[in-house]
Amino acid sequence: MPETINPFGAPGDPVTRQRPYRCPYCFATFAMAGLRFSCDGGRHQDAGLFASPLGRAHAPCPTCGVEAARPRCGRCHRYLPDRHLETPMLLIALAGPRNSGKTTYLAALFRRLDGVLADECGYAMTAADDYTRAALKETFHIGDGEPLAATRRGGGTHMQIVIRLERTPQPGRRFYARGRAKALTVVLFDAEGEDFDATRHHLDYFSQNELGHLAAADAVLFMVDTAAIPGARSAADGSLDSAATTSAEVVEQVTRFLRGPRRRRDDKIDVDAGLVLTKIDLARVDRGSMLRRPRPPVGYQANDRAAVHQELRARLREWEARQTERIIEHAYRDYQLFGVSALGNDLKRGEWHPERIHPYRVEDPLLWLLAKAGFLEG
Amino acid sequence: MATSADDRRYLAEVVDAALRDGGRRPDVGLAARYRLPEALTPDAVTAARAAAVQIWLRNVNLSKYRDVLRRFLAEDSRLNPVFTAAARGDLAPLRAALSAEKAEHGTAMRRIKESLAERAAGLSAIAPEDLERLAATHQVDPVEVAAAARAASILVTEPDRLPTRPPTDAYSRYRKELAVLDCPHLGAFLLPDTNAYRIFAGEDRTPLTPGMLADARARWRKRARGQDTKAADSVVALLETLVAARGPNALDALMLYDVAAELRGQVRRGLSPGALRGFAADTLRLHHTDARRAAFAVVHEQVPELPARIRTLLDAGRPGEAVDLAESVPGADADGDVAALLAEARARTKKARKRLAKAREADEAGSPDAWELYERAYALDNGLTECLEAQARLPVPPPTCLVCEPDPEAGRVRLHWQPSPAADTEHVVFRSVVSGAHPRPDNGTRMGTAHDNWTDTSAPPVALLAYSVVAMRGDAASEPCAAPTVLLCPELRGLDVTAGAARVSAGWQLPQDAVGAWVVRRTDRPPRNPDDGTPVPAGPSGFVDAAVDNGTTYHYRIGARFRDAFGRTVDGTGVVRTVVPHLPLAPVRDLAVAADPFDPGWVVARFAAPPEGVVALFRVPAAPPWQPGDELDLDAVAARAVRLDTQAVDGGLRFRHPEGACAVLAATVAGARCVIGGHAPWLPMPVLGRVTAQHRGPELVVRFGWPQDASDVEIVWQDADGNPLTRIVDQAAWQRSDGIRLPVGPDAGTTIQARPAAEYGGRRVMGAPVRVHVPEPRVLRYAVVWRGMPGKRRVVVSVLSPHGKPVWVDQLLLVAAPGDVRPLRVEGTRVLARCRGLLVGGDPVVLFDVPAPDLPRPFWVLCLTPDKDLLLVDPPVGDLLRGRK
Repeated sequence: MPETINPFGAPGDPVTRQRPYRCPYCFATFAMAGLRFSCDGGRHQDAGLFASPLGRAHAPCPTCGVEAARPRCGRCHRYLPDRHLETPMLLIALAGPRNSGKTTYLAALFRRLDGVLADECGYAMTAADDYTRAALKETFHIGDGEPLAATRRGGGTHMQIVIRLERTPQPGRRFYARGRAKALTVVLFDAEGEDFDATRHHLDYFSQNELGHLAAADAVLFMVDTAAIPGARSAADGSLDSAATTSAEVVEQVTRFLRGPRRRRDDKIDVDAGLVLTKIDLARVDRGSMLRRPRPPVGYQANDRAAVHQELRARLREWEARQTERIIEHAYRDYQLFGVSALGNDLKRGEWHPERIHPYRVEDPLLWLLAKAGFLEG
Repeated sequence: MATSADDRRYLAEVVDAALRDGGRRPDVGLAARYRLPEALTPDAVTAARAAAVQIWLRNVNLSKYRDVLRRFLAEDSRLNPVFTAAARGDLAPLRAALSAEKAEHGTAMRRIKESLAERAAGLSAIAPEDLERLAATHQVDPVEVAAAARAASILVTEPDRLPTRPPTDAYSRYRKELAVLDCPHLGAFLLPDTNAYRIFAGEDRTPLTPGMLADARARWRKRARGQDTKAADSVVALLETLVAARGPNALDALMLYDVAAELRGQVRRGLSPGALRGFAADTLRLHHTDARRAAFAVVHEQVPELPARIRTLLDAGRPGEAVDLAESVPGADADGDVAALLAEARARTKKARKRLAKAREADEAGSPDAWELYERAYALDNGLTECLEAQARLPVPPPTCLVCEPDPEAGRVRLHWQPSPAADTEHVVFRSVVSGAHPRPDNGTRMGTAHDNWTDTSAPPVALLAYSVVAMRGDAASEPCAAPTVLLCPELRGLDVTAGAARVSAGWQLPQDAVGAWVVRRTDRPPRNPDDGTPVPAGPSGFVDAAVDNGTTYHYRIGARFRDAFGRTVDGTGVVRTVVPHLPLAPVRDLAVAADPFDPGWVVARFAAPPEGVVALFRVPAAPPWQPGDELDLDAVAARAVRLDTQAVDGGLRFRHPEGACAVLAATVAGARCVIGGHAPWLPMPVLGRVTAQHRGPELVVRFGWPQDASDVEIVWQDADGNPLTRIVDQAAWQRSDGIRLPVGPDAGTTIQARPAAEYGGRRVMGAPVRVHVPEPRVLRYAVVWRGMPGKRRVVVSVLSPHGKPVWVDQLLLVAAPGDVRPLRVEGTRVLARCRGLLVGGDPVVLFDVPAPDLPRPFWVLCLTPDKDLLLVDPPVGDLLRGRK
């Protein structure tokens, strides 16, 4: 069927509001008519992709007439995850300078997400595609003494993890409350090898291909290495880590870019922002601080969240490092501060062992976003 | 697999053609390969394809056709869309493929014609070998290439072979004389008026007969005498000599060689084939046919060039021959390459001659370096065979300082000597037995070859042995170097002397040719000879000496006895053994092994100490192979068990925790002997390392590293009422989560005991327990309530101890701070109220009730304490932060 109208719009394009679905891989928005199908089993590959003549989630093969029920994205032609059209999607982008611990953080997060947190919150986590399944098994697997591979610079590839969270029935409770999502597709985007180099500050640089995921993101988590904050690290811990690009520069670059496609009427950016202080266990805080207390094991708790947020604001002021927080506070529609530790200790890379790693509050950012998305009570 | 007639025909017609020239034959085009009909129809094409593919599949396993048919099948897969279209009735792709094939063939032929024209330029001829190579390069049938050559008037012919050596040794002089006469070749000298010489064999060849020599001589005699007539006379004389030696046909051969030499010289100067042909026709005045043949032959000559031959000789180390070769070719040194090689050859020859002269001087002076100098001269020029002759004449200096050392215990004689100073010599050892005379190469037994030492392992016992060593270099031998005669009396083999209680026993094996053994003993010092001490009766394989006292040291000298050739008794030197008879050692009994309760990682073995000897502990894999009471050598025990490094403790020994399950064996050791005692199994106790416990909400998270060999870990703790609770944690459960979570209740203290356990053969072994005390944290919770109307607001702060346990508070401050950032310390805040020394219980107590601070909003009101051990739990942020949007 000849196509006269491009059904895909860029993120932020007004036309996209009329298109309720988003591809978890290329982030194109589309209506049902934008779906494409291929003959199941590849029996008629020559026939290529075809659309549903009635704009449905399935379409007959024009060659053999057999119904094709696995929709593909009309733009990138990848198969959409199972039941993707019935599930809301939460796209979370990670941004931070190199060596800020993004990949390690994700590895620890997935370990918690599929373990303790699933029991607490009562959901089941599944990988939405084979790539995610392999990545969770290999790339984000913390092995015995094996460091996670450093992300490649400028490789053009990235880690795009698509997981599906599905609530499980709780004994003695309603299956799910009104207005709460029964299932949620979460896309975590770790920009592999992406270099937020301050020297490449032209906005033109942020092309749609390289930072397209940022423009489509529902939330951005800015990763800041606590060890890189001069006042935060205790005196006994020695020298600071040096990084070519600082976290403040990354926040500025991303914010400047997002002001284009995601600006609201009140001049704020229509994205939730989280400032995640990694390696928080290395920070110099008191024994009774909220940053030393464990998260209450009851899923998401708003009071605990507010207490940690306020304590971190106070700590940042004490460390004279509120510049980044101020940028985020003024630019984004909502923001929170998080203190996490992916390893829970100061292990060197060769000392890693699954039993010696005790992640601390790594799930806080995701819990906040899941609660905002209506998936968790809070 | 049987092959049908149709298959055989197809293979012969199509595939065999493709096999020619390595299977790259192009004539197996689509039409031939598929046997497509002239009139292409969909059905016919499909049937032809199916038949062809069937033939390929049937025969693809034949090794001869495998490669070609696999290629056909692969190309068929690529052509699948073409034939699919043809089957549907669309023959256009197939016709296009056939046309493309023809076009490709046409392109190849065009390139071939261009190459032919280029190669045959000037001579209009090409060698068949070149033609084949051209066809193979462009994958075209050579027949087509030959046709293309014919069409372009290019002759395909084999090049003639021209002589490479002159027919006479005086050719160089002959050429010089001809050059004086300005004659390029013999024909110009004999028949100066001819303009078209034919030089190749055949009826048309220009005749050169001996009669012409007389004519030439007569012709030149008519002229006035001068340099030219002298040269002509010389040439005629040389030619007459040649004819006399080789017959009349030698003149034709000389003529041919003259032309070839001239043309080769021009080729070396870089003349092109066309110019060479012109040179042959115009300057040498050859017939145009022969000019082309000669030029063609010279251009296609592949004989090694003179420089290559000279280089080969130089590389073979024969510079003298290289000089001779270069000088034998007249005018060769005009070539730059030849001149350079000739210079090198001459330089090497000169150097070799100098070395030879130096070697001769050394030879005459009797220097030992002469042999080496001859060798170096010969290495420079292998043609100097006089070096080899001189080397054979040179004497070889003999080796010196030959020493023979008999080793009676090993039954052999060791020899070592100072080698001959001459290089490249080998030393030959000769031995004579009881001959009295020192052996020479022709008198004695040649034993072996060595450089500076040798061991005679076959020396006969009780015989006077004379050894000598001769240095040999090639066939030349030095004077022998002799040593004094030696006598070898081997000692007893496998001698073993054992002391028991009031007795000494020994055993041995007699050496070859021994007739018996002798034994003497002393108590004050070792005996020095067979007559020094008390004789002890000995049999052929041992003795038992019961006339000894316990605790006394006895020195025995024991040796073998021989009989020489004259029947006299000869005693060997003998060896000394010292022993002390002693009371039997008592084995260790009642051995018990247990982990050291005070020091993890150590094991204590307890036993009743024997009256004599030292107790040693050994680690054996399982039950020891000896019985208690066995008396053994310590080395024999150490070979099959690992001796443990022990420390003495009260009532026994202690040692480090051995790895894995094993048995511990006790032995009583006295010197090199030991008596096996009892043994006890040891099952290793798993050792737990550091254990940490941390409150996480209502749970206590206990973390530890998994102990080696442990099957599980038993964790015991107390609940709120002090009742002990136990949980067994296996490795799977331990790996699954971040530590073991115990439901002790929030903010409760307890003592945790973790104890590893292991199982060996169904038996459960518990390791040492590790205890961790988790003190009850001091937690104070407070609440902030805002009361009163605006303008009269008051802050009411109440505190309580969660879970009702009393908490002592040294100091508590209620502070206020402007701004929306929470204050962390008292500094920079306004203290609204202060409380000191307070015991807080489980019931809420109103601690502060103060007016609300008069600060611009937003501002914070909260409690702070300088007590760092007190955990102050804030109320929700909304109660503390006022005025936030």
